[in-house]
Amino acid sequence: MSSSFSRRALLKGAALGGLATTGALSGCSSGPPPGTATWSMWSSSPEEQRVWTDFGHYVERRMHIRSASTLTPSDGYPTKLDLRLVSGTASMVTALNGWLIPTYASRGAHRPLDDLIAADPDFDLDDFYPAIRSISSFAGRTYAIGFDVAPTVLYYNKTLLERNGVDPPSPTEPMSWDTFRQLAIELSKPKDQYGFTCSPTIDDLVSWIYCAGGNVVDGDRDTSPLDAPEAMQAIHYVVDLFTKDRATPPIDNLVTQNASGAALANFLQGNVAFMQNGPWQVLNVRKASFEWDIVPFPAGPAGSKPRVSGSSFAIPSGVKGDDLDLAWRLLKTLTSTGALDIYARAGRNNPARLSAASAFEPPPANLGIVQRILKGEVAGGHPFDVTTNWNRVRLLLAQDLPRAFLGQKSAGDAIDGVMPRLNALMRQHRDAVRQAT
Amino acid sequence: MTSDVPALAALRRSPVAARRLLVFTCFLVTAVTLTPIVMMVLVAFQSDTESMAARPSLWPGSWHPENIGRAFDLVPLGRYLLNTIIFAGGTALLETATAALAAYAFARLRFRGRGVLFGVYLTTLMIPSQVTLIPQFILVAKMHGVDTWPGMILPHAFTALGVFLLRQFFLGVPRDYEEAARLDGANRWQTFIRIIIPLAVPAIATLAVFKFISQWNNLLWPLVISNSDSTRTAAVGLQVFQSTNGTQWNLLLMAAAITTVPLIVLFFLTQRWFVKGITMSGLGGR
Repeated sequence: MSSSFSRRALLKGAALGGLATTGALSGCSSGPPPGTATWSMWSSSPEEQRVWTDFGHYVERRMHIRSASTLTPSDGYPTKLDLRLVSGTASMVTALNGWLIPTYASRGAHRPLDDLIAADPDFDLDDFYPAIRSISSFAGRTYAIGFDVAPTVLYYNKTLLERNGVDPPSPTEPMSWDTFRQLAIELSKPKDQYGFTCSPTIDDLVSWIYCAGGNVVDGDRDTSPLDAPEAMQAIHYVVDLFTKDRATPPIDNLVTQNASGAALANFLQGNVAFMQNGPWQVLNVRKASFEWDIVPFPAGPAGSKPRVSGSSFAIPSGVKGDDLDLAWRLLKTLTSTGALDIYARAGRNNPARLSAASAFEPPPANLGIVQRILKGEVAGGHPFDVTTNWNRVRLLLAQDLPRAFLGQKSAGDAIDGVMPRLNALMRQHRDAVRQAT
Repeated sequence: MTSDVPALAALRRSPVAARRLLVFTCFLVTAVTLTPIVMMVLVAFQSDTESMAARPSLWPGSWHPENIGRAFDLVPLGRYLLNTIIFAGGTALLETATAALAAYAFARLRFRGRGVLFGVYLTTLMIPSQVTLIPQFILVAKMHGVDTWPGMILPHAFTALGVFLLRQFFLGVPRDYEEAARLDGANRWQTFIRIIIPLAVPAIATLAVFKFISQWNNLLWPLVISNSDSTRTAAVGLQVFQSTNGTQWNLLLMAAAITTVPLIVLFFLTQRWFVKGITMSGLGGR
């Protein structure tokens, strides 16, 4: 019976095909051999890739072991990390942006490091800036060890200020908000020149909110203090710079203005006096065709307390036994003074260790203030307070708040509109914290 | 009521006006479609400063053809393009093979539960790929398929859409051809290979083209499964030009333009299959 025979033959063929497929997959040896020091990191530019390659060489030299890094473009890094964590294929050590640490810690995706730190007399946590230690902690426990940390600062166009007969601001004494506002207005000639640029996002707004004594998150409450007078004062101040004072480049569309680097693009035009940004942009601003420098962030009613951000290395919860020992040694190596010197010499950002601080050096002339701010010698800073669902908070505030910067809504109305949903997110955050502790 | 609208009534009375309106609409749609592509090419040739401007000009102040070389210098774009061809080509090739076999079985072989099984198979079309991403990744990871070509290609080599498309075509092939082949002594397999497949070349080519293009643009799966330049595709590679420290718009768009060229060439070479695919399945562009 040719028909039944051929049907069997088809089925056989299909079965053999399936087996071959399985064999092809399972026969593939993916991943490094056991005993390799594996770590993952975001990396977008070739320059960044070179730094991480140098880190890999450093690890191999110091640990006499093979280093294997998984580098992923920064936009896709959290997605990939999530998948690798849930599938149990994450590296021994994973890099985490500071604002994601509570998210992963509350999920139990990464392990607390306090027991490893306590059992290791060679490891000195005090050598790390207090701000990065705070950022790397969740619910009173250390979940990560920092590799970079920096406060938001004020970049200024020295050439533009000189041309307008304005003295450079003090590198040690932050300007008051009133002085800054007057200067921004004075230096603005709409369509030709502007006093100030920043991104109309919550991540930039928080620096002003902290300086006014406010916050987005209150650890003791189920509601957000974003509508409190202190925070509202800061929001009104910044929104007014955009809408009333016309001291900022006009926002054509929120898509590009919300994108990272929009403020930098404005500043690099050469017709903006001040830019709010972090020292991680020094490498990019060095491409500018004008003289520039940095000064401390303007001081509000509560002083100069801009957002301090950082990034860290953490160990996934699934790492156990001998791998855990190797992971801890790897994490220590990746955050050692020698490794952070490589990072800082490349000009990427300010290293998280005090002992590596000398590597992040001028130019520009005032670059040293970054470490002085972190040490509390000049002005000040405020560790970035985030929730376990910060990405959702950020998305929520990106929906309505920017309309205030366009003048389509008052700042008060914009905040009133988001508060119910924001408070719901805060309750979720508190529940996550309670469950995690 | 449309008859109340004088303009439409006039249009119906005047075929010349209707044709003009149609031409104008086509022109408008073409302009809207082409504008972003033209902008992409123009910005690709701008200088760094010009493309980074808060209000970028459309026409380059000065042309920078060296951006082509810079895009290749910054990332191994050639390697990424080759990887994309392997990924998209491999997936398209495998899918057409597996879909043809399954479609033939659903169209011609009689077995218990065939209709139900086909219905269940079709329901997978309604599940967004994001939903199956985690279990799929876990499966591939457990089978040591991360950062390997089989791990990249195999999970995308079996889809209900391909089976549905080819089954519809096979159902339209007269059984007389197969019966004639049987009388000549051909078995089922020979009939499939020598009679059905040659007849189904238009449908198979359509499926292959659609699959190739969809995989060429696939970002999520290559992003999560590829860990190195040896398997990284162009869609993932383009992300290298975007970082938290800003975006190099001119180089990003130059790289995007370069990676679009093979697709444009493919489109012009296989234009008729596109049209056939849309008329055959009503699922064109999926």
